[in-house]
Amino acid sequence: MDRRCEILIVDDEPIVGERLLASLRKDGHIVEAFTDPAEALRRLETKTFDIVVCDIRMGEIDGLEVMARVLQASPRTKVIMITGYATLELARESLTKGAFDFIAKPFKLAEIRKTIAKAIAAVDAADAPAAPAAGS
Amino acid sequence: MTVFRSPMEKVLTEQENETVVTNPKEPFRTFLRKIAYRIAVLRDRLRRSPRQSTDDDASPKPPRSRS
Repeated sequence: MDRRCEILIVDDEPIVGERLLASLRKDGHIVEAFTDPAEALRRLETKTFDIVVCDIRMGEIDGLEVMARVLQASPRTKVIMITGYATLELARESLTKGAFDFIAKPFKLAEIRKTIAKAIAAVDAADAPAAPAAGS
Repeated sequence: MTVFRSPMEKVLTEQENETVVTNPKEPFRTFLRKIAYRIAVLRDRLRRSPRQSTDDDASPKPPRSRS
């Protein structure tokens, strides 16, 4: 594992959250999972996460809206979109609107672990102080 | 590199990594949708790649003016 980081999972299917929660906690991360996007948004008002893993098609609030709210509150947070209704247009829309990655269900845990490792590296790179320009 | 405390831990981790996360209500349809998505991504890549290479060949960069 690269480093301990704080991850939020939002998926209306409880089994998805449970599986991701268990495996990511095993990797040493601090993980919270919500099945209700409204509840997740309330949590996001009080806490910022390094990574958010979010389903797209949920009840009243969809994943793209959750992503917009996450990025508005914390631009450094990396949002990974997951969906069982993947289309090229949806993938493009997600990435254009600021998603770090787009994963179509079904996926293996190894796949999301790899994506999370990349997201952690991106968060670390963004947090690292900018190197002084050569010659200055 | 991941360090395992025992061979059993390695086996269990490998098994866990193979665990599939899907939509439990309609796993087969979700699988079919992913296949359709993958095909769409491949088609899109194929459609873009020859165009990019012909663009590169057909329209060389204009030389920089030195004035």
